Amino acid sequence: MLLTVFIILGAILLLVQTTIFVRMPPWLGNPDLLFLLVLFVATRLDSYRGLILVMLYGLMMDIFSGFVPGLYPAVYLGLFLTIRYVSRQVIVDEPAHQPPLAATCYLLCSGAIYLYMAIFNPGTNILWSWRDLLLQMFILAILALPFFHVLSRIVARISVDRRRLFSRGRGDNRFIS
Amino acid sequence: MRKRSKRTRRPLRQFLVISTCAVLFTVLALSFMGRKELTLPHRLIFDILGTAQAGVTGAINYGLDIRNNYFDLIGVKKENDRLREEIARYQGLTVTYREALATNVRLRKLLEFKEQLPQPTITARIIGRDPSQWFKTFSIDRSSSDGVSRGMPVVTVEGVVGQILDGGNHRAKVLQAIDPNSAIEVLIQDSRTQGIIKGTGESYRLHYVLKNNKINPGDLLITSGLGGVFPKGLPVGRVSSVVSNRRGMFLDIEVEPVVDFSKLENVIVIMKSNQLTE
Repeated sequence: MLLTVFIILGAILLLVQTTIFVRMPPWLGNPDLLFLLVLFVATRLDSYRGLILVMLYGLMMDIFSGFVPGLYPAVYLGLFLTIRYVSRQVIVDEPAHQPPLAATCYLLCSGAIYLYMAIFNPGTNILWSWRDLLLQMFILAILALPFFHVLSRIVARISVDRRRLFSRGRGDNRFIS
Repeated sequence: MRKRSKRTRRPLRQFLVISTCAVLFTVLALSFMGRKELTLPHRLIFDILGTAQAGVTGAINYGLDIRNNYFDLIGVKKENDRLREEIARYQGLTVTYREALATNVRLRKLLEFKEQLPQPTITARIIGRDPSQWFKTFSIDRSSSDGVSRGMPVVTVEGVVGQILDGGNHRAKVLQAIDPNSAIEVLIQDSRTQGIIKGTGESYRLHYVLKNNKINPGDLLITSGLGGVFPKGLPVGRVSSVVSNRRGMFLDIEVEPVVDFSKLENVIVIMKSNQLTE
């Protein structure tokens, strides 16, 4: 259930980004909400589901963005593993940590994309604009808190529904037995 | 005796009253004959009664107005609502007609341009743009099933847009000419100077133009047809700045695209037989 909801959510966010956000004025920066979703998945969900989702999001981004297959799954996977490792040492999913986490991870991700292209596709170039990068980091830092809050509510809701479903199931069984 | 005297006085009094009235009537009649203006008493009475009359008429009219306005307001409210609905409907229709007109003009231009092109072409609609800030690509609603394949040039009425990156089963991805990975062989229309244009994200940079060439801002760049991808003569951009650095043998030339990439909606894919290969 949770997996399905997050896959649909990722697809919706990507569609919104590629059709609506790209029409917005440049100073609004076309917020990368899918990236925030990747961060949420990496910090909140368990490793098994997180890994599946992150790879799926990477594949979806590969379809809609750029022209180097495998770029986004590799970068998102790297990001996922890094966050998992870091979260063992320090707390990263507290509300106060979310804005700096989003901004820092975006910067790291941009660097990783640049590095990936330099190593695996030396002939190709990517656009690098510090102004756009900082703007995107700023926007993601602002959006991180409400975005994480909404997603936490969704996860909580799904968990409650699931618990109810299972408890009803047990009740029925008991009744039958 | 007394009764008789009373009886004799009554006809006398009646006679006196009647005769007085007759005299007064005669005097008045004689005094009015031949006059066109009101006398002072007439004016006085007229002023007093006229004022009262005006007051009463005003009050009546006020009452009538209130009544009429009240009943009229009920009608006006309905009329107002109806007119508002009509305005909203007409506004909607105007927007629809305006959009249809704009689409018509745009498509007519595309059609005229399409007919000018030597190769077979196919029109496509942009369905999505690259959400990242590292690449400049977009998706179109044409695919390999329509005959679209890698390397085909994508243009519009204004000029060069890019080329097909890959043709999927239901859509194709286009690399915009302003992407840093795009390179197009061009020549300056007036001076016929050749060079290679590369994307910088927002505009172009013209490479490999020697310093001894005279390039001016505003010069139009067209495709040279040498790369084998784009047909010759398609507009690409206009020179916006020319810098001659002390070092190096080439000019530093900035080029403004003729196509507004942010407002693209429809494009034309030129179905070339000799497509770009890996």
